[in-house]
Amino acid sequence: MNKPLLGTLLGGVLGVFDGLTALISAPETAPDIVGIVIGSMCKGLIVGALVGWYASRVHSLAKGLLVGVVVSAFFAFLIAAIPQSDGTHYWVEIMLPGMIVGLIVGYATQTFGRTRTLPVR
Amino acid sequence: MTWLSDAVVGRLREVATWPELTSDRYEIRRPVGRGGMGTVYAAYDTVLEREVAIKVSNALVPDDGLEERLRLEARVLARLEHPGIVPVHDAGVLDDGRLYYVMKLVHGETLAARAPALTTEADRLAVFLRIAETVAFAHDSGVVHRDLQPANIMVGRFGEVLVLDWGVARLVDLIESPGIRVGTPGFMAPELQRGDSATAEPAADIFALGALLNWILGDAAVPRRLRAIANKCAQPDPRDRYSNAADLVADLSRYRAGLPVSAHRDTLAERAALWFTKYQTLVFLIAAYLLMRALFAFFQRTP
Amino acid sequence: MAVQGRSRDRAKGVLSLSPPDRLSPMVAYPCAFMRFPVTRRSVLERIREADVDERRAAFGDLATAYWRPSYHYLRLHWRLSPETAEDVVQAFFTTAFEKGYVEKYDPAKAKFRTFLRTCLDRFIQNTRQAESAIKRGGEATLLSLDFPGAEHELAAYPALVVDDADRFFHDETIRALFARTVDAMRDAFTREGKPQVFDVFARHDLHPSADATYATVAADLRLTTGQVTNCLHAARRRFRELALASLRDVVATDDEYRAEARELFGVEVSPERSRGV
Repeated sequence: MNKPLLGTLLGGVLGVFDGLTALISAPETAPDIVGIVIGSMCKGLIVGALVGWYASRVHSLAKGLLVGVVVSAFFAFLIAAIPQSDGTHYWVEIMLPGMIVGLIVGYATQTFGRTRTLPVR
Repeated sequence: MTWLSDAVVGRLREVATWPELTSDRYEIRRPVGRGGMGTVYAAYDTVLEREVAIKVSNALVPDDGLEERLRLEARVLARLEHPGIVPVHDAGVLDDGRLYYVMKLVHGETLAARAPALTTEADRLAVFLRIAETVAFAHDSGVVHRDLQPANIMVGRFGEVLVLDWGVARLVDLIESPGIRVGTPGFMAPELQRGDSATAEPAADIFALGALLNWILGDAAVPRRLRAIANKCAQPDPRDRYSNAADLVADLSRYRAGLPVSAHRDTLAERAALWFTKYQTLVFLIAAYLLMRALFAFFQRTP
Repeated sequence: MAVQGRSRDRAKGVLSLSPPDRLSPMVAYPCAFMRFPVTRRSVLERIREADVDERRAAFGDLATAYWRPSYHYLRLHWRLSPETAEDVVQAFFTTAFEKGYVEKYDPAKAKFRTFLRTCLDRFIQNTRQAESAIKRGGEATLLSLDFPGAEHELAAYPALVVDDADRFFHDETIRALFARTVDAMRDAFTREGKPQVFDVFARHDLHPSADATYATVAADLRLTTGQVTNCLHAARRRFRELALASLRDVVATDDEYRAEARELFGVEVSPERSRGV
């Protein structure tokens, strides 16, 4: 499996899981859980694809982790910027776990996955 | 009578057996080593303009044993083209009938001299793997060294590792006279000690490699899996050892990669520890995520 | 070799030392020995011969090989005066021949030179034996030896303290052996009409200057570098052959000969194979 595909799949799975944990950390969001999970999954797919693509180009664990945390923080920010029904923002509850998921995807894509090889001429 | 000083006596001892080459191609510079079979001189190749080493037979009279050994060594070295084996450039006969061959001049030190500088397990294993890979290549080419020991390993200036002294090597497709004892005490397989060197198989080299591995690792605390690899090499029965150096190299490579090795059956706890060591970053990240989620849940429920 | 000796009254000779001509078989037929060093029995085997002349000649070779190291040993280790050391050397070798010291040598116990040195030590320690042997005067036979020359050589190391007697005796034996070989070479090449071979050897190997190279030696002696190379090859080979032949006079057995050749030159010689050549 190549790195972009690995990143995409992993990001999507972790996004679903991350969305579901809202039931535990923020039970009041239960009525909106389907939308939360879909949104988290989409965020995970995009983050995973980007981080996986980066890992296929640059082979550096430190840089992969950095890109993972930056990209996931950005998209987590976009999600957290959407106010809840009562006007509050779950900045910490969304961005912090999102950044850790970004680190996990960054680590996994740097460590595993097949790099695209150059054609031999 | 002429009186000779100590310096002149020393010089005469040196020049009395100075190689007399039939051509001017090689300029002999100085002796660099002497063994039971031959003396090695540093020389200069005037045609290719490079330093070389010339090994000259010590036999001043026709000595079938010594000359045949030197001839075999030259042939073995010429057959084995590998970064860990000194390449042979030329061979011939001196004016006085002694055999010689020309090879690469190695600048470095023996493993015994380099060993104190190998302070970590990773450094020691890196050097040992080079030795084992070289021996694996030789085995694959049908050659058994039969005298692997620290004094026959050189570490070059740039970290290259060379296995030397193939003078007692055995070509597995060559029939040899029985009863010859070859090897060095402490590194000699039991079958060589019994005098079965004429039929020595690669397993004899495996025994020596195991002794070499133990020697390199020294008295430091060694992980059980690594000690198991060394112990498998040192089994008295050749059938219980690695059958060849390539298998030993594979097991050591697995050990370095944190994977299970064939020489040791890991317990469940050891397997878990291996996995954890290999993926500790991932485990940490997942644990951090779960911990953070748990903390959020806890503070969420706390009034 | 200039041979001088102290003049004393003589009765009759027991021993006679020949000049280095005893090495002449090597000199006369060098090619025969290029690959096969001399066919020569050890001095011990020759001394144990029934033939008296052969025994005498063999003992003469033994004395030739060991008198100088013995003299230096007596002067530097035992600190004897030149006169006493000379007398002891004379008396020792004469007594050793008469009483058959050498025939009692057992190879299993020690090297031959160690045995000989030990005999010399005991000879000195037994002062009564030494004095009576020395005082025999007219009945003893003097060896015709260059004691003044040997004494002169000591100027090179007057302050030497002998820590290891066996090592010192060994080194002096080898020094004397090499010196005799060099003298034999000089005579041989002169006789063969090739004095320049020895000259090149002397210039490059015996008395080298700090910047001695084939080119400088060639320039000094008005030769080509090719000629210098050939001369050195010939001279060194001759030196090796003569030295190995002469080594026979300082060892007692084939095994000791092989061990000494190995230690001295790092070479393997097979006296068994060279027999009968």
